[in-house]
Amino acid sequence: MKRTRNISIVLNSLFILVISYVAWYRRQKVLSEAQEFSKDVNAWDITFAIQNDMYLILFFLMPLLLFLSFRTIEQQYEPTILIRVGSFRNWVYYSIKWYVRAVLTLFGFVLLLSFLCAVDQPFTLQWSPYSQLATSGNISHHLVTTFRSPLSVIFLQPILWLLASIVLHGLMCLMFLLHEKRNGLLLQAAGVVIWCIFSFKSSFGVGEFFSPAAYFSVGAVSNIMQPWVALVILSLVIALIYLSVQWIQSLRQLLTSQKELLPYLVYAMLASLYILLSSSRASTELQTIGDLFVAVFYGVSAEDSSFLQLVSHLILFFGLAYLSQLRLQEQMTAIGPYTWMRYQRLEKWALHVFVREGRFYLLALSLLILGTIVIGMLQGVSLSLSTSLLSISPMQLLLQLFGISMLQLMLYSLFSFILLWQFPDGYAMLGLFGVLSVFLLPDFNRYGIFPSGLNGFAQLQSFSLTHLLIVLLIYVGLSLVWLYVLFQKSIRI
Amino acid sequence: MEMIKLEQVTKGYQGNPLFADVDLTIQKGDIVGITGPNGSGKSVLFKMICGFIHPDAGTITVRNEQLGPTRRFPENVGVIIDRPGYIAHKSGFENLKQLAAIRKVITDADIEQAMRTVGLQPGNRQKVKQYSLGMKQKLAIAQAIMEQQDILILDEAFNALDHDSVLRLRELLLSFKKEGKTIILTSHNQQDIDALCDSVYRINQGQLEQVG
Repeated sequence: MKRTRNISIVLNSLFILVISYVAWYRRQKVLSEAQEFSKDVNAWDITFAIQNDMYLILFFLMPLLLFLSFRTIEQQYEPTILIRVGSFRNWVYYSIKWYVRAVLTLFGFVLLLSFLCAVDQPFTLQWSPYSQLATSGNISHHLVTTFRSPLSVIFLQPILWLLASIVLHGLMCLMFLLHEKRNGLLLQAAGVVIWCIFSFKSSFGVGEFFSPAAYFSVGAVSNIMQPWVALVILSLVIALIYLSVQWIQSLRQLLTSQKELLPYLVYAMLASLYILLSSSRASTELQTIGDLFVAVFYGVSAEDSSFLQLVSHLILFFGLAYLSQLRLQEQMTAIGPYTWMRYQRLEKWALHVFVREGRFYLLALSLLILGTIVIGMLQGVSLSLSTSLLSISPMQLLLQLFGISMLQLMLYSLFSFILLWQFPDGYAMLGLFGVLSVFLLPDFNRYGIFPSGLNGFAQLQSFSLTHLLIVLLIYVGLSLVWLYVLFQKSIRI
Repeated sequence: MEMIKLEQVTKGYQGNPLFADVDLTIQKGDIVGITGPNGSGKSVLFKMICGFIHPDAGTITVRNEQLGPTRRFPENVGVIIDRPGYIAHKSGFENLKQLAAIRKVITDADIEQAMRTVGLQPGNRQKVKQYSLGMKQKLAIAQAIMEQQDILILDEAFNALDHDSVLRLRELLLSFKKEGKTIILTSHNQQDIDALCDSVYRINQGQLEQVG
């Protein structure tokens, strides 16, 4: 008990120390910048600079908020509490209530400190001359374009904190209830932090829109939308959480009975979202369906890479490879020995498995392409396969889209198969996808010899179709030889 | 007629010898029991006879065909080994049908008959993940016998079965013996071994010693 209290004192002290240091640092920065440009500041310039410091939010407040969320859920998901609250729905309300109490103390301290740091400056009802200064670190300048008075910001900020905290913890609770695993909860929290940092660092609109961190700052929110829209969005998400909570029991039952479909549903959702967003992002440049294919399936190359393109390849193609890996694992570990005995030859069995995976990829690719065509038609692009975005013919476009993609996907499955054959528990797959992701990084695959992401249209900027085909065929050939050698040995069962 | 023959079979696992120059011959229609403490190599022996694992030395012959590069797995052998043997999100019938579709020698009616024989309801749409341990074991047995396999290799086939099911399985195996099927099995329950086996071998220090 005493030890817990000591840890709590240390953590609280650390929190106060970090926040105080950042607040002091931000205050000094505002004052020195104002002095440099000979502009007068008022209290709001310092207050808002502290409250909207994205580095503070991303690297300190978000991890802290998620830690609090994790700890609240972990401590409160107890049979003794569940019995008393009576249902999962009530448990979510109960947990949110506790969480909001905890984080409002935290935000109250941030608010108080941001005021204290500005106490020697005038609290006027107008924006200061400093707020007219267009420098990159001047938060007031971003706010002055959206808000007439600083008072609106100071009223809006606590509302945002409150709503965003409810959304963050509500979603954490909902997700947790679907799996009920501590490690899953940890992954959720880590995923949110990583996503927020990625979105901030890569500065792409879609990412910021979906980044929870942005909704904790009036400055960040007003950069991407009207502040009232943010309030509406947060309120809608809270309403959605409320509705989901009403159906949580049925959702849990559905997920338990149809667990195997979950990865496919998540993939379909992510892929649809990506196709929709990427086609609308580039809609002004898109004239034909060929253009749309190039935009959606552009991928990455050594010379041409961006975060969104990387994510797109990871979602669309690694996602499919992951689904295939789940199927392979099932075939190998669940019923493997009983099918091998019946096939009599491992090679015959493997051929059957790969034909099945080939059909799966063909269907998935066709659906992705069909989905893209439908979205293109809705956007009114012409149904021509020619493209002005790349100097390739419609035939080359189709070959890259179908032929090379199929070959690339089959190669991913071959790699998965070989690794699963040697390490059936599937942990090695993380390493495989990790290594394949590294090959997608900028400047890595300069000579197009690493077998990852070769089906993106970005590759056609540097390599011919023949080059890509030969590289993939060589890897397929080598993998088949490797597989044949493995099949001659004892099986790891 | 010799159905299974091991000659001078040697096998080690991670530097520890499991079998050293082991010989074993099993005749058609015999029920042979293999016993031994945990980790003695019973499952490894069965996996070698099935062709999953290669011996370090020696030969294994099933129906006069030596297992090796040209014959990896023996033909028409029903097997239960220490692996699940089912896809959890499919029903029992769907699982068996998927396996039966490989050789295509039996019909749906045969699958249903095999399920009834072991005490499972073919019409039960319950997914295997919702099965009890005993039901899963019965499904494994149905899988091993549904294609009228004439050699059965059963590693702990009696595990998790209730008393009535154990008796039913014993009767079933004895009826298979009468039909001339060859069975090699392990069980932790000595009563199963005593009630069924024509001969019993115990694995002891890398050797198969006949104890019954």
